[in-house]
Amino acid sequence: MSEYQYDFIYHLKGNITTHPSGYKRITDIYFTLKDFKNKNILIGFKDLVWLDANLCALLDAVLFELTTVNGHTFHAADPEMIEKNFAVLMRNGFILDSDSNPIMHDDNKSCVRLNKFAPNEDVAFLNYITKDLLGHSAFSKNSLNWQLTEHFAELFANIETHARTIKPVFACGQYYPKQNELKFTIVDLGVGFLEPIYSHTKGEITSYEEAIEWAIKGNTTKTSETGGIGLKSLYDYCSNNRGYFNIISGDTYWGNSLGELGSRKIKPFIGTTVHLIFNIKNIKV
Amino acid sequence: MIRIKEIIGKSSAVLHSDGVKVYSAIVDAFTRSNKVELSFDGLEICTTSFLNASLGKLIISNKSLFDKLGLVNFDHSMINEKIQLVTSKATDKVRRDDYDETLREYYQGA
Repeated sequence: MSEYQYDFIYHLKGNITTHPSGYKRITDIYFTLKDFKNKNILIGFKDLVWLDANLCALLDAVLFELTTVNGHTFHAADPEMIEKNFAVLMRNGFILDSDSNPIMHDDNKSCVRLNKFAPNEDVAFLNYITKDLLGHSAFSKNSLNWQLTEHFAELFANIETHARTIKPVFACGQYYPKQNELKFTIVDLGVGFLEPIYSHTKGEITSYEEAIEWAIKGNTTKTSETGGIGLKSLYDYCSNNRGYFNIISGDTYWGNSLGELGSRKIKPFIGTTVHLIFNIKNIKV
Repeated sequence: MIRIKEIIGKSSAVLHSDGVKVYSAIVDAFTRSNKVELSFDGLEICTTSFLNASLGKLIISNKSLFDKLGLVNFDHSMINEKIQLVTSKATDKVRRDDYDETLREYYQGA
């Protein structure tokens, strides 16, 4: 199809990194297209300088929402240019062939393949974490990996407990050996942090920032149970290993990679996104 | 003996919904016997969400049953730590709720 046969061409632009600005550039796709229905859309890459490949989890989540709710269809422009400049998108499963397989093999072994899971598919998710993420060459094979698996299990369990959605959970990672970093992103399209916590605290917690901090401290919305320890464990793990942990929910981008621990206001998208940036060099038990 | 792995059909006890299944199995078992053991054998992973929905819920809804429940075969140190953490938090919550109730009764009677 030529460009003229599409209803809309959306050009990704500039540097899209694991940072509030990158989150904005991707969710802007949603805000631009959410008021339209059943459009045939071409995604352009000619103006894109850089994309952190782990953000394919967020990008796929945005496209999923626009596809299932708005009936849009998406195609990638200029496959040859993508193969030349953004081949990672063809290796990590974001751009697939007609048989739904990655177009290129991940010879560099830098990708943690884009995948999605129903919120109750804990076995499949943990197999992915064990084999695709922790089985990655960036992680040395040691007992540390077991601890990390536990933390990811906690994170996934939090989604099943709190997100209140049957929509998929999206996950993707990318290893950057020169920076000794592996960036991993998980996205759910649930209700976000504030709604259940506002209700539980009877209006005492009224902002996303307060809700995130309340959850990180180990509080819970369950009146008949204890809870909420898992998220704190994962945050503590990242912090203790000089990694970064970001949570984005509602109008708040929160984390310890924004200079000092803090938050930024953003335009609210659906659900919750978590970025884990592992400092591979400093990982210790 | 209740084997968690048999109740949930997996070697990973992750989900809140699976914890609820185990909670129900424990309560049901106590209707037939005064002595019930909960076995963690074969489990590779156990999350706090799962433990909250099973043991935490049991402590808060019926602490006397929890006090009679035997927990066995949790050799994995991380599972042991999480059990301690969850049961400690739940027990504290029960104490706080009991204290709040006692205060309420006191002021109502005053």
